[in-house]
Amino acid sequence: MGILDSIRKSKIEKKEKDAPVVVGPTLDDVMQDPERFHLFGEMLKTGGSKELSELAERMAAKNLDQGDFAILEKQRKIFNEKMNSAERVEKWLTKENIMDLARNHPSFKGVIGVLDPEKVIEVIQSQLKGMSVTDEARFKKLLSGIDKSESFKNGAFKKLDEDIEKFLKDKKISPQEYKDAIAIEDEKKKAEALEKLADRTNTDFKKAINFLSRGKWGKDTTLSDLHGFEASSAEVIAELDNYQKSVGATLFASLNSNESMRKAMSHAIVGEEAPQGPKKGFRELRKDAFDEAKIDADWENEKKRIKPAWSGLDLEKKKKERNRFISEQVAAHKVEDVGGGFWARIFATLFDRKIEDHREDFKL
Amino acid sequence: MNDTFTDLYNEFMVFVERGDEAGARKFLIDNLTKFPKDVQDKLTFAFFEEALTDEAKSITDIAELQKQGLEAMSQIDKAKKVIEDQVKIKDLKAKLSK
Repeated sequence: MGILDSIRKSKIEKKEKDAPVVVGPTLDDVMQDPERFHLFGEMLKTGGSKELSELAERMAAKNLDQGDFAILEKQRKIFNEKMNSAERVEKWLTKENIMDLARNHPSFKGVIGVLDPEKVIEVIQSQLKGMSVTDEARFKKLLSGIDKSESFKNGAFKKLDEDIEKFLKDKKISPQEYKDAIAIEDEKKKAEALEKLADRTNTDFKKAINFLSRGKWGKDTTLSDLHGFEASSAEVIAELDNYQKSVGATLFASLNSNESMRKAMSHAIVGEEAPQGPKKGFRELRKDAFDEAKIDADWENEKKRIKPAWSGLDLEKKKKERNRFISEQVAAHKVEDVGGGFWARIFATLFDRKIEDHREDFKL
Repeated sequence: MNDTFTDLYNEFMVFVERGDEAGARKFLIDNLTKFPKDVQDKLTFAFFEEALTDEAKSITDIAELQKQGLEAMSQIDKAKKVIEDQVKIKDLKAKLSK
Protein backbone atom coordinates (compact mmCIF):
# COMPACT_ATOMS: atom_id res chain seq x y z
CA MET A 1 0.00 0.00 0.00
CA GLY A 2 1.37 3.41 -1.01
CA ILE A 3 1.72 6.32 1.41
CA LEU A 4 -1.30 8.15 -0.02
CA ASP A 5 -3.45 5.04 0.16
CA SER A 6 -2.37 4.55 3.72
CA ILE A 7 -3.28 8.14 4.67
CA ARG A 8 -6.65 7.82 2.93
CA LYS A 9 -7.39 4.54 4.72
CA SER A 10 -6.49 6.00 8.09
CA LYS A 11 -8.74 9.00 7.42
CA ILE A 12 -11.65 6.73 6.55
CA GLU A 13 -11.04 4.65 9.66
CA LYS A 14 -10.93 7.80 11.83
CA LYS A 15 -14.14 9.05 10.25
CA GLU A 16 -15.85 5.73 10.94
CA LYS A 17 -14.56 5.77 14.50
CA ASP A 18 -15.85 9.30 15.11
CA ALA A 19 -19.26 8.63 13.57
CA PRO A 20 -22.04 8.72 16.18
CA VAL A 21 -23.14 5.30 17.33
CA VAL A 22 -26.80 4.85 16.66
CA VAL A 23 -28.27 2.72 19.41
CA GLY A 24 -31.73 1.32 18.84
CA PRO A 25 -34.27 2.58 16.35
CA THR A 26 -33.29 5.77 14.51
CA LEU A 27 -35.38 8.90 14.60
CA ASP A 28 -36.77 7.93 11.25
CA ASP A 29 -37.74 4.46 12.56
CA VAL A 30 -39.52 6.08 15.50
CA MET A 31 -41.39 8.49 13.23
CA GLN A 32 -42.50 5.71 10.90
CA ASP A 33 -43.81 3.37 13.59
CA PRO A 34 -47.27 4.58 14.72
CA GLU A 35 -46.98 3.09 18.23
CA ARG A 36 -43.48 4.44 18.84
CA PHE A 37 -44.40 7.78 17.29
CA HIS A 38 -47.33 8.10 19.70
CA LEU A 39 -45.24 7.12 22.74
CA PHE A 40 -42.41 9.43 21.71
CA GLY A 41 -44.90 12.30 21.48
CA GLU A 42 -46.31 11.40 24.90
CA MET A 43 -42.82 11.42 26.39
CA LEU A 44 -42.15 14.89 25.02
CA LYS A 45 -45.53 16.18 26.19
CA THR A 46 -45.14 14.87 29.73
CA GLY A 47 -41.44 15.72 30.01
CA GLY A 48 -42.26 18.74 32.14
CA SER A 49 -40.81 21.40 29.88
CA LYS A 50 -42.75 23.86 27.76
CA GLU A 51 -40.19 23.59 24.95
CA LEU A 52 -40.57 19.84 24.70
CA SER A 53 -44.32 20.07 24.88
CA GLU A 54 -44.33 22.57 22.00
CA LEU A 55 -41.94 20.35 20.10
CA ALA A 56 -44.39 17.47 20.51
CA GLU A 57 -47.12 19.63 18.99
CA ARG A 58 -44.91 20.60 16.03
CA MET A 59 -43.97 16.96 15.56
CA ALA A 60 -47.61 15.84 15.57
CA ALA A 61 -48.45 18.55 13.05
CA LYS A 62 -45.40 17.51 10.96
CA ASN A 63 -44.20 21.08 11.14
CA LEU A 64 -40.67 20.69 12.47
CA ASP A 65 -37.96 23.35 12.30
CA GLN A 66 -34.40 22.57 11.28
CA GLY A 67 -33.18 23.14 14.85
CA ASP A 68 -35.70 20.62 16.23
CA PHE A 69 -33.81 17.62 14.92
CA ALA A 70 -30.87 17.99 17.30
CA ILE A 71 -33.25 18.05 20.28
CA LEU A 72 -35.26 15.16 18.85
CA GLU A 73 -32.10 13.11 18.39
CA LYS A 74 -31.17 13.67 22.04
CA GLN A 75 -34.69 12.75 23.14
CA ARG A 76 -34.65 9.68 20.88
CA LYS A 77 -31.78 8.24 22.92
CA ILE A 78 -33.69 8.77 26.17
CA PHE A 79 -36.78 7.27 24.53
CA ASN A 80 -34.90 4.18 23.35
CA GLU A 81 -33.53 3.61 26.84
CA LYS A 82 -37.05 3.75 28.24
CA MET A 83 -38.30 1.33 25.60
CA ASN A 84 -35.46 -1.07 26.39
CA SER A 85 -36.33 -0.98 30.09
CA ALA A 86 -40.00 -1.56 29.32
CA GLU A 87 -39.08 -4.50 27.11
CA ARG A 88 -36.95 -5.92 29.89
CA VAL A 89 -39.94 -5.85 32.25
CA GLU A 90 -42.14 -7.34 29.52
CA LYS A 91 -39.75 -10.27 29.23
CA TRP A 92 -39.61 -10.69 33.00
CA LEU A 93 -43.36 -11.15 33.07
CA THR A 94 -43.46 -14.91 32.72
CA LYS A 95 -46.14 -17.16 34.08
CA GLU A 96 -43.67 -18.52 36.63
CA ASN A 97 -42.74 -15.07 37.98
CA ILE A 98 -46.36 -13.99 38.11
CA MET A 99 -47.39 -17.11 40.00
CA ASP A 100 -44.51 -16.60 42.45
CA LEU A 101 -45.73 -13.10 43.21
CA ALA A 102 -49.31 -14.29 43.58
CA ARG A 103 -48.28 -16.97 46.05
CA ASN A 104 -47.21 -14.29 48.52
CA HIS A 105 -49.95 -11.78 47.87
CA PRO A 106 -53.58 -12.81 48.50
CA SER A 107 -55.12 -9.91 46.54
CA PHE A 108 -52.99 -10.47 43.48
CA LYS A 109 -53.74 -14.17 43.81
CA GLY A 110 -57.41 -13.20 43.68
CA VAL A 111 -56.86 -11.23 40.48
CA ILE A 112 -55.07 -14.20 38.89
CA GLY A 113 -58.03 -16.34 39.91
CA VAL A 114 -60.53 -14.03 38.22
CA LEU A 115 -58.59 -13.38 35.02
CA ASP A 116 -55.90 -15.95 34.31
CA PRO A 117 -52.10 -15.65 34.39
CA GLU A 118 -51.73 -15.20 30.62
CA LYS A 119 -54.40 -12.52 30.57
CA VAL A 120 -52.84 -10.74 33.55
CA ILE A 121 -49.42 -10.76 31.83
CA GLU A 122 -50.97 -9.36 28.66
CA VAL A 123 -52.74 -6.58 30.58
CA ILE A 124 -49.60 -5.57 32.47
CA GLN A 125 -47.42 -5.70 29.38
CA SER A 126 -49.83 -3.50 27.46
CA GLN A 127 -49.31 -0.67 29.97
CA LEU A 128 -45.57 -0.81 30.49
CA LYS A 129 -44.29 1.23 27.59
CA GLY A 130 -46.85 3.95 28.21
CA MET A 131 -45.93 4.12 31.87
CA SER A 132 -42.20 4.20 31.12
CA VAL A 133 -42.62 7.42 29.13
CA THR A 134 -45.35 9.18 31.12
CA ASP A 135 -44.61 8.19 34.72
CA GLU A 136 -40.90 7.75 35.19
CA ALA A 137 -40.91 7.62 39.00
CA ARG A 138 -43.55 4.91 39.12
CA PHE A 139 -41.83 2.92 36.41
CA LYS A 140 -38.45 3.14 38.16
CA LYS A 141 -40.00 1.78 41.32
CA LEU A 142 -41.34 -1.14 39.34
CA LEU A 143 -37.93 -1.79 37.79
CA SER A 144 -36.30 -1.67 41.19
CA GLY A 145 -38.79 -4.26 42.49
CA ILE A 146 -38.00 -6.54 39.60
CA ASP A 147 -34.26 -6.09 40.10
CA LYS A 148 -34.63 -7.08 43.76
CA SER A 149 -36.69 -10.10 42.92
CA GLU A 150 -34.17 -11.13 40.25
CA SER A 151 -31.19 -10.64 42.57
CA PHE A 152 -32.93 -12.74 45.16
CA LYS A 153 -33.63 -15.54 42.70
CA ASN A 154 -30.11 -15.36 41.27
CA GLY A 155 -28.61 -15.80 44.68
CA ALA A 156 -27.26 -12.32 45.42
CA PHE A 157 -28.28 -12.86 49.03
CA LYS A 158 -26.96 -16.39 49.10
CA LYS A 159 -23.66 -15.31 50.64
CA LEU A 160 -25.46 -13.66 53.56
CA ASP A 161 -27.56 -16.75 53.99
CA GLU A 162 -24.50 -18.97 54.05
CA ASP A 163 -22.73 -16.70 56.55
CA ILE A 164 -25.71 -16.94 58.87
CA GLU A 165 -26.02 -20.68 58.58
CA LYS A 166 -22.30 -21.13 59.20
CA PHE A 167 -22.40 -18.80 62.20
CA LEU A 168 -25.29 -20.69 63.74
CA LYS A 169 -23.68 -24.02 63.04
CA ASP A 170 -20.43 -22.87 64.68
CA LYS A 171 -22.41 -21.74 67.68
CA LYS A 172 -24.33 -25.01 67.73
CA ILE A 173 -27.58 -23.08 67.72
CA SER A 174 -30.49 -25.25 66.79
CA PRO A 175 -33.72 -23.44 67.58
CA GLN A 176 -36.20 -26.25 67.98
CA GLU A 177 -39.19 -23.96 68.07
CA TYR A 178 -38.39 -22.66 64.64
CA LYS A 179 -38.09 -26.15 63.26
CA ASP A 180 -41.36 -27.18 64.92
CA ALA A 181 -43.09 -24.24 63.29
CA ILE A 182 -41.67 -25.05 59.88
CA ALA A 183 -42.84 -28.65 60.24
CA ILE A 184 -46.52 -27.66 60.56
CA GLU A 185 -48.30 -28.87 57.46
CA ASP A 186 -51.30 -26.56 57.52
CA GLU A 187 -50.07 -23.44 55.71
CA LYS A 188 -52.27 -21.06 57.69
CA LYS A 189 -51.30 -22.54 61.05
CA LYS A 190 -47.67 -22.60 59.97
CA ALA A 191 -47.77 -18.92 59.04
CA GLU A 192 -49.41 -18.10 62.39
CA ALA A 193 -46.81 -20.11 64.32
CA LEU A 194 -43.97 -18.47 62.44
CA GLU A 195 -45.44 -15.05 62.95
CA LYS A 196 -45.76 -15.72 66.67
CA LEU A 197 -42.24 -17.02 66.88
CA ALA A 198 -40.87 -14.18 64.80
CA ASP A 199 -42.68 -11.69 66.97
CA ARG A 200 -41.26 -13.11 70.17
CA THR A 201 -37.73 -13.47 68.89
CA ASN A 202 -37.93 -9.98 67.54
CA THR A 203 -38.63 -8.63 71.00
CA ASP A 204 -35.57 -10.42 72.35
CA PHE A 205 -33.56 -9.41 69.35
CA LYS A 206 -34.30 -5.78 70.00
CA LYS A 207 -33.66 -6.24 73.70
CA ALA A 208 -30.26 -7.73 72.89
CA ILE A 209 -29.33 -4.78 70.74
CA ASN A 210 -30.51 -2.33 73.35
CA PHE A 211 -28.72 -4.19 76.09
CA LEU A 212 -25.47 -4.10 74.19
CA SER A 213 -25.74 -0.56 73.06
CA ARG A 214 -27.58 0.89 76.08
CA GLY A 215 -30.07 2.28 73.65
CA LYS A 216 -27.38 3.67 71.36
CA TRP A 217 -26.36 0.96 68.99
CA GLY A 218 -22.69 1.46 68.17
CA LYS A 219 -19.92 -1.03 67.64
CA ASP A 220 -17.08 0.71 69.45
CA THR A 221 -18.79 2.22 72.45
CA THR A 222 -20.54 -1.05 73.29
CA LEU A 223 -17.44 -2.95 74.32
CA SER A 224 -15.79 -0.08 76.13
CA ASP A 225 -19.00 0.40 78.11
CA LEU A 226 -18.84 -3.21 79.16
CA HIS A 227 -15.44 -2.70 80.77
CA GLY A 228 -17.30 -0.80 83.45
CA PHE A 229 -19.26 -3.89 84.44
CA GLU A 230 -18.33 -5.14 87.86
CA ALA A 231 -21.29 -6.57 89.62
CA SER A 232 -23.23 -9.71 88.80
CA SER A 233 -21.12 -10.83 85.89
CA ALA A 234 -22.62 -14.29 86.01
CA GLU A 235 -26.11 -12.89 85.52
CA VAL A 236 -24.93 -10.70 82.68
CA ILE A 237 -23.33 -13.68 80.93
CA ALA A 238 -26.48 -15.74 81.42
CA GLU A 239 -28.53 -12.92 79.95
CA LEU A 240 -26.19 -12.62 77.00
CA ASP A 241 -26.54 -16.36 76.41
CA ASN A 242 -30.29 -15.99 76.27
CA TYR A 243 -30.04 -13.12 73.83
CA GLN A 244 -27.68 -15.10 71.69
CA LYS A 245 -30.19 -17.93 71.45
CA SER A 246 -32.99 -15.51 70.61
CA VAL A 247 -31.04 -13.69 67.95
CA GLY A 248 -29.98 -17.05 66.62
CA ALA A 249 -33.58 -18.19 66.33
CA THR A 250 -34.41 -15.08 64.36
CA LEU A 251 -31.42 -15.48 62.11
CA PHE A 252 -32.13 -19.11 61.55
CA ALA A 253 -35.09 -18.06 59.46
CA SER A 254 -32.80 -17.64 56.52
CA LEU A 255 -33.67 -15.89 53.31
CA ASN A 256 -33.95 -19.07 51.34
CA SER A 257 -36.64 -20.45 53.60
CA ASN A 258 -40.09 -20.87 52.20
CA GLU A 259 -42.35 -18.03 51.16
CA SER A 260 -44.70 -18.17 54.13
CA MET A 261 -41.69 -17.71 56.36
CA ARG A 262 -40.52 -14.69 54.46
CA LYS A 263 -43.98 -13.20 54.57
CA ALA A 264 -44.39 -13.89 58.29
CA MET A 265 -40.95 -12.50 59.03
CA SER A 266 -41.60 -9.44 56.99
CA HIS A 267 -44.83 -8.69 58.80
CA ALA A 268 -43.91 -9.69 62.30
CA ILE A 269 -40.23 -8.94 62.62
CA VAL A 270 -39.75 -5.86 60.58
CA GLY A 271 -43.05 -4.40 61.59
CA GLU A 272 -42.13 -0.78 61.20
CA GLU A 273 -42.41 0.73 57.77
CA ALA A 274 -39.18 1.89 56.20
CA PRO A 275 -39.18 5.66 55.78
CA GLN A 276 -40.75 6.25 52.42
CA GLY A 277 -42.32 9.64 52.87
CA PRO A 278 -45.97 10.20 53.58
CA LYS A 279 -48.20 7.53 52.17
CA LYS A 280 -51.92 8.08 52.03
CA GLY A 281 -54.04 5.36 53.55
CA PHE A 282 -57.47 4.10 52.64
CA ARG A 283 -59.39 6.43 54.95
CA GLU A 284 -57.51 9.57 54.04
CA LEU A 285 -58.14 8.96 50.37
CA ARG A 286 -61.88 9.20 50.73
CA LYS A 287 -61.66 12.90 50.06
CA ASP A 288 -60.06 12.14 46.70
CA ALA A 289 -63.18 10.33 45.55
CA PHE A 290 -65.28 11.86 42.83
CA ASP A 291 -67.52 14.49 44.40
CA GLU A 292 -70.06 15.38 41.74
CA ALA A 293 -71.54 18.44 43.49
CA LYS A 294 -68.14 19.93 44.28
CA ILE A 295 -66.69 19.36 40.86
CA ASP A 296 -69.76 20.87 39.17
CA ALA A 297 -69.50 23.91 41.46
CA ASP A 298 -65.79 24.21 40.63
CA TRP A 299 -66.64 24.14 36.93
CA GLU A 300 -69.25 26.89 37.32
CA ASN A 301 -66.71 29.02 39.22
CA GLU A 302 -64.10 28.33 36.59
CA LYS A 303 -66.43 29.58 33.85
CA LYS A 304 -66.90 32.84 35.76
CA ARG A 305 -63.13 33.31 35.99
CA ILE A 306 -62.47 32.81 32.28
CA LYS A 307 -61.82 36.00 30.30
CA PRO A 308 -63.30 37.20 28.01
CA ALA A 309 -66.78 36.47 29.33
CA TRP A 310 -67.97 32.87 28.93
CA SER A 311 -71.10 33.87 27.08
CA GLY A 312 -69.00 35.54 24.40
CA LEU A 313 -66.97 32.40 23.57
CA ASP A 314 -67.79 30.20 20.59
CA LEU A 315 -68.60 26.51 21.05
CA GLU A 316 -65.12 25.27 20.08
CA LYS A 317 -63.44 27.59 22.54
CA LYS A 318 -65.84 26.49 25.29
CA LYS A 319 -65.10 22.83 24.59
CA LYS A 320 -61.39 23.56 24.69
CA GLU A 321 -61.78 25.24 28.10
CA ARG A 322 -63.82 22.27 29.35
CA ASN A 323 -61.10 19.85 28.19
CA ARG A 324 -58.48 21.92 29.98
CA PHE A 325 -60.55 21.92 33.19
CA ILE A 326 -60.98 18.14 33.05
CA SER A 327 -57.27 17.60 32.36
CA GLU A 328 -56.42 19.76 35.35
CA GLN A 329 -58.80 17.81 37.57
CA VAL A 330 -57.33 14.49 36.43
CA ALA A 331 -53.79 15.81 36.96
CA ALA A 332 -54.72 16.96 40.47
CA HIS A 333 -55.77 13.40 41.29
CA LYS A 334 -52.82 11.78 39.57
CA VAL A 335 -50.79 9.49 41.78
CA GLU A 336 -47.54 10.95 42.90
CA ASP A 337 -45.00 8.30 43.61
CA VAL A 338 -43.92 9.72 46.97
CA GLY A 339 -47.38 10.06 48.45
CA GLY A 340 -49.03 7.36 46.40
CA GLY A 341 -49.70 3.79 47.19
CA PHE A 342 -52.10 1.08 46.21
CA TRP A 343 -55.24 2.94 47.21
CA ALA A 344 -54.08 6.21 45.69
CA ARG A 345 -53.77 4.40 42.36
CA ILE A 346 -57.17 2.80 42.71
CA PHE A 347 -58.84 6.12 43.51
CA ALA A 348 -57.01 7.89 40.69
CA THR A 349 -58.16 5.21 38.23
CA LEU A 350 -61.77 5.41 39.33
CA PHE A 351 -61.71 9.21 39.40
CA ASP A 352 -60.27 9.27 35.90
CA ARG A 353 -63.06 7.13 34.53
CA LYS A 354 -65.76 8.88 36.54
CA ILE A 355 -64.84 12.34 35.29
CA GLU A 356 -64.63 11.02 31.74
CA ASP A 357 -68.16 9.63 32.04
CA HIS A 358 -69.23 12.98 33.48
CA ARG A 359 -67.65 15.01 30.64
CA GLU A 360 -70.89 15.92 28.88
CA ASP A 361 -72.50 16.94 32.17
CA PHE A 362 -70.20 19.95 32.46
CA LYS A 363 -72.54 22.46 30.94
CA LEU A 364 -71.09 24.71 28.27
CA MET B 1 -72.51 7.59 30.47
CA ASN B 2 -71.64 4.09 31.58
CA ASP B 3 -74.34 2.94 34.01
CA THR B 4 -72.56 -0.26 34.94
CA PHE B 5 -69.46 1.63 35.94
CA THR B 6 -71.51 4.17 37.91
CA ASP B 7 -73.27 1.34 39.75
CA LEU B 8 -69.98 -0.36 40.54
CA TYR B 9 -68.47 2.93 41.63
CA ASN B 10 -71.38 3.63 43.96
CA GLU B 11 -71.20 0.15 45.45
CA PHE B 12 -67.46 0.53 45.95
CA MET B 13 -68.00 3.87 47.68
CA VAL B 14 -70.25 2.19 50.26
CA PHE B 15 -67.17 0.24 51.46
CA VAL B 16 -65.12 3.41 51.35
CA GLU B 17 -67.64 5.35 53.43
CA ARG B 18 -67.67 2.54 55.96
CA GLY B 19 -63.88 2.55 56.07
CA ASP B 20 -63.95 -1.14 55.20
CA GLU B 21 -60.65 -1.60 53.40
CA ALA B 22 -60.75 -5.39 53.26
CA GLY B 23 -64.31 -5.28 51.91
CA ALA B 24 -63.36 -2.70 49.28
CA ARG B 25 -60.42 -4.83 48.19
CA LYS B 26 -62.59 -7.94 47.93
CA PHE B 27 -65.24 -6.01 46.02
CA LEU B 28 -62.71 -4.90 43.42
CA ILE B 29 -61.44 -8.44 42.89
CA ASP B 30 -64.89 -10.06 42.83
CA ASN B 31 -66.18 -7.52 40.33
CA LEU B 32 -63.01 -6.99 38.35
CA THR B 33 -64.37 -8.30 35.06
CA LYS B 34 -67.49 -6.12 35.32
CA PHE B 35 -65.47 -2.91 35.14
CA PRO B 36 -64.88 -1.30 31.73
CA LYS B 37 -61.76 -2.68 30.03
CA ASP B 38 -59.55 0.39 30.64
CA VAL B 39 -60.45 0.47 34.35
CA GLN B 40 -60.04 -3.30 34.66
CA ASP B 41 -56.55 -3.08 33.16
CA LYS B 42 -55.46 -0.29 35.50
CA LEU B 43 -56.84 -2.09 38.55
CA THR B 44 -55.00 -5.26 37.55
CA PHE B 45 -51.81 -3.27 37.18
CA ALA B 46 -52.26 -1.68 40.61
CA PHE B 47 -52.61 -5.12 42.23
CA PHE B 48 -49.51 -6.31 40.40
CA GLU B 49 -47.51 -3.26 41.53
CA GLU B 50 -48.58 -3.81 45.10
CA ALA B 51 -47.56 -7.48 45.01
CA LEU B 52 -44.18 -6.63 43.48
CA THR B 53 -43.49 -3.80 45.94
CA ASP B 54 -44.40 -5.97 48.94
CA GLU B 55 -42.18 -8.78 47.69
CA ALA B 56 -39.22 -6.45 47.16
CA LYS B 57 -39.72 -4.89 50.59
CA SER B 58 -39.88 -8.26 52.27
CA ILE B 59 -36.61 -9.34 50.63
CA THR B 60 -34.81 -6.11 51.54
CA ASP B 61 -36.12 -5.99 55.10
CA ILE B 62 -35.16 -9.53 55.96
CA ALA B 63 -31.72 -9.16 54.41
CA GLU B 64 -31.19 -6.01 56.48
CA LEU B 65 -32.47 -7.67 59.62
CA GLN B 66 -30.15 -10.61 59.14
CA LYS B 67 -27.15 -8.34 58.63
CA GLN B 68 -28.00 -6.60 61.90
CA GLY B 69 -28.48 -9.97 63.54
CA LEU B 70 -25.06 -11.19 62.49
CA GLU B 71 -23.55 -8.00 63.83
CA ALA B 72 -25.46 -8.41 67.11
CA MET B 73 -24.26 -12.01 67.46
CA SER B 74 -20.70 -10.93 66.96
CA GLN B 75 -21.11 -8.16 69.54
CA ILE B 76 -22.65 -10.57 72.03
CA ASP B 77 -19.67 -12.86 71.60
CA LYS B 78 -17.22 -10.03 72.17
CA ALA B 79 -19.19 -8.77 75.16
CA LYS B 80 -19.19 -12.21 76.75
CA LYS B 81 -15.45 -12.42 76.29
CA VAL B 82 -14.89 -9.02 77.94
CA ILE B 83 -17.02 -9.96 80.94
CA GLU B 84 -15.43 -13.40 81.27
CA ASP B 85 -12.00 -11.74 81.29
CA GLN B 86 -13.19 -9.36 84.00
CA VAL B 87 -14.42 -12.27 86.07
CA LYS B 88 -11.03 -13.97 85.70
CA ILE B 89 -9.19 -10.77 86.73
CA LYS B 90 -11.50 -10.37 89.72
CA ASP B 91 -10.90 -13.99 90.78
CA LEU B 92 -7.17 -13.60 90.37
CA LYS B 93 -7.13 -10.40 92.44
CA ALA B 94 -9.13 -12.15 95.14
CA LYS B 95 -6.67 -15.07 95.22
CA LEU B 96 -3.65 -12.76 95.37
CA SER B 97 -5.04 -10.73 98.24
CA LYS B 98 -5.59 -13.85 100.33
